[in-house]
Amino acid sequence: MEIRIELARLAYAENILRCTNEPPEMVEDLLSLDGELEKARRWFAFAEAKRRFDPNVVRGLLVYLFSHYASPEFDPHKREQLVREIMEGRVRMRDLTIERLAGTRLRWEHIFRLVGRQFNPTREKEKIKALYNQLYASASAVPRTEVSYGR
Amino acid sequence: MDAKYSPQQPHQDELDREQLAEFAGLFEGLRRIEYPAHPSEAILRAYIANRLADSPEAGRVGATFRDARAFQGFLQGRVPYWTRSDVAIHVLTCTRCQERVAYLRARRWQLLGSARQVSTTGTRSWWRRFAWGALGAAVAAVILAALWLWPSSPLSPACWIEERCWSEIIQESPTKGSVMVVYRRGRF
Ligand SMILES: [Zn+2]
Repeated sequence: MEIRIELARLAYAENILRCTNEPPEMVEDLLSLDGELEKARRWFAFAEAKRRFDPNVVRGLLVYLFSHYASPEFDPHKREQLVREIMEGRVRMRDLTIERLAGTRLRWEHIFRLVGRQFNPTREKEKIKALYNQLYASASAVPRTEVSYGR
Repeated sequence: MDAKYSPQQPHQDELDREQLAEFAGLFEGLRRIEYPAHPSEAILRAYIANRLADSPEAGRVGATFRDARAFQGFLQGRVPYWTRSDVAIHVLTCTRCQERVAYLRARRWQLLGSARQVSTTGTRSWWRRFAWGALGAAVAAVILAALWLWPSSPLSPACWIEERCWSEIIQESPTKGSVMVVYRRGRF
C-alpha cells in the first residue's frame, strides 16, 4: 500500500505540472494515508506556489525535478528526442508526463525554452521553500523554523 | 534576469550548479512493481501520441483524485480506464511497459522522420515545378515582346507588295473603247 501512496503523490505532482491538479486541501487526507504527510505537503507547496507566483516558473522547476530525479538511469536516446522536440517548439509543458521526463536530464536552457522565459532557479526554489515553511511549519506538531528538503 | 527566453545563457555556470538535489528525497520511494495487468498497445500508442485524456469526462482535473473510489482503484492497481497519469505512473514503474513504450516511441519517431523528409522533398519538387513554369513564362514573354517591338521592316517581304497577285487585261468595249480589267489571283 505504501508504494501505491508514494506513486499517488507522484501522480499528483504530475497533475501540478499539467495544471490538472485538485487543490491541496481536497487531497491531503488521501495522499498521506501512509503517514507521510510531510512528503505530501512538499508537493502541496508547489501547488500553492503555482497559485501565488508565476505558475509557469513553478512548472518549469517541476520539469527539471522530474527529468533529473524520477529515474536513477540516464536515457540518452529519450533525452535526444525530447530535447529536439523542445527546441523545435513541438512540445508544451501540458504534454509532458513524469515518465516522459524521467531520465532525460534536461538543462536549464531547455526548461527556459519550455517556460518561454528565463528565471533564476535558485531564487524560485528558495521562494517555494519559504512558502512551505510559511504554510506548514507552524502547523507541525514539533515547532521548527526551517524545513530541509534533503535526507 | 526575468527576461524573455534567448539561447544565450548569461549565467550558465551558475545555472549548471543549481541541481535542485535537495528535492531528490521526494522520489525515494520509486521502485519497480510487478503488475498483474498492463495497458494495451492501443492505449500506449494513444499515450505516446498525447491523445490520452487526464479524465474520461469533461473537466481538467485528473480522474485519479476525483473521488475516493477512483483513488482506491488506483491504489489497488485496478483502473476502470487508463488516464494519462495512470499510464505514465505505470510505465515509470513497469520494466515490461518501459520497453514497449521505448520501442513504440522509436517507431513513431522513425515514421515522423520519414514523413517530414517526404514533405520536404514534396516542397522541393513543388518549388522546382514552380521555377520551371516561371522560366517558361518568362521565355514566352520575351519572345512575344521581341515580336511586338521588332523594327517595322520585316524579316521577309510581304508577297502582296513584291509579287503580283492580280492580272490586268485590256478588253475592248463597244461603248467605252479599250478598258483595263483587273482580275484577282488567289486571295487579295
Ligand atoms: Zn506494464
